[in-house]
Amino acid sequence: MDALVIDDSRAMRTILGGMLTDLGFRVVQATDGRDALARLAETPAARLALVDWNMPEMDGLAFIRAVRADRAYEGLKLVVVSTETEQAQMATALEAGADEYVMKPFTRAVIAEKLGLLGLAGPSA
Amino acid sequence: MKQGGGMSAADGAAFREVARELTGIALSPEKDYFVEGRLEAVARARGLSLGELAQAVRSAPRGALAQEVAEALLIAETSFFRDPGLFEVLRLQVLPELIAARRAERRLALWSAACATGQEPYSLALLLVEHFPELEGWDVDILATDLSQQALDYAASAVYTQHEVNRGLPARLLVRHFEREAMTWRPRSAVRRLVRFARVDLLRPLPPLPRMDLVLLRNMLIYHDVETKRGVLASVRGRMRSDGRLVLGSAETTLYLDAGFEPSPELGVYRVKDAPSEAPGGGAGGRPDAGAEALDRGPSAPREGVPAVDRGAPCI
Ligand SMILES: C[S@@+](CC[C@H](N)C(=O)[O-])C[C@H]1O[C@@H](n2cnc3c(N)ncnc32)[C@H](O)[C@@H]1O
Repeated sequence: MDALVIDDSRAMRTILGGMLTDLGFRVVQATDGRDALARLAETPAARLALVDWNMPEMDGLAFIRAVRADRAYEGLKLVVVSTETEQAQMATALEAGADEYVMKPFTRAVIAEKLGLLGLAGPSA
Repeated sequence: MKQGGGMSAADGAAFREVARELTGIALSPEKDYFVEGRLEAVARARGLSLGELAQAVRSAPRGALAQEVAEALLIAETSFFRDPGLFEVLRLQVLPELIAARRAERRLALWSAACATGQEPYSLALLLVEHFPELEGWDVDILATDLSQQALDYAASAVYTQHEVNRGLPARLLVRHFEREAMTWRPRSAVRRLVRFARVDLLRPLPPLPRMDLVLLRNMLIYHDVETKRGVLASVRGRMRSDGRLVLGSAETTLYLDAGFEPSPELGVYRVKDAPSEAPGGGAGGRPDAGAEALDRGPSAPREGVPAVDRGAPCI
């Protein structure tokens, strides 16, 4: 299964990418929303994108809106992974079409359990 | 994983012995890292090393400190919507069937029988509030019990860390049904008021309880031997309605343990096959409200139920 990790921090991409790889995903990295849209066009079978909120060029929210405006990506699950912890912000992301939301900092179990909620490779226990 | 550096094998054995004596839980030596992790805080709070703590419980194996050690070892792993597939089964299958069956009496009694720090009963409450608006005006009662008073206090306060709400809780529910207070999160009162807490030791005769429609008894039996499992299953069954459902953890089963349950087609869910005619000491009978009267259920003070429940059975 293909997955995108979209974050302007290389460290964060490495951490999230490693976790997804361990969970059996083939990971494609992108540094911001615009980059991610380009990668997505090359990876049309991607089932999952982990999306940071605050990024240069195109932020996570704009990326989510762009993806949700495109029927081609209907099956793509979008999970925001962000330092934003205000409920209003979360609500905005969900209304824009995010499927799930993870607050930073997080652990491997958090990511695995969220994917379990989405019916993607979840924790076995 | 932690190294066993701070704790000798003998100390580990002493702690395991206390846990076994006071809670019936048999921890294996491989779990020493877990024991050490749990007990470091207890030792530190007393200004003791782990070795000194072990010495203290050895010399007073039934004392207050030993009790605290045993309790610390009970508080275990849990999370909101642990095993999401199961909660889907509850939402799509089990709860709709129970609600249909209770349409006339408009009453539903649910029991989270080893609720730990409360994520499990609040997950049930969230499910009801979010997906079953038709229960408005029903008498819905989620009883949440555990042996550990520390866990119950935490559960009743309902103040969860960011890490805890990050785990397994759908973000939509976090947004709609929780209040954020600085870095902590608390279910709103509409969720909290459905749940009340009481200390109940499942290894002892149970106190009077309402006849339950649905019992969650998850990830508690795994710690116990076959005889204990049998006893717990039988006594829990004695508190259930004749068409009630039991839900166990993913590594647990009633098979070969209690013929009074039969597995449902849905994984992890069991139906009562032979309802005992009357629960000894229960007094709840099959009547909808009888048992509920034994418990005080003021919504503002969920723990008011504790003395009433404890009356029936001594707890450790
Ligand atoms: C692993 S937790 C399970 C929490 C939750 N049911 C879940 O599945 O996530 C096990 C719980 O069983 C409780 N427990 C252990 N022995 C018990 C007993 N004899 N009576 C009641 N609760 C007990 C412990 O205190 C602990 O909170």
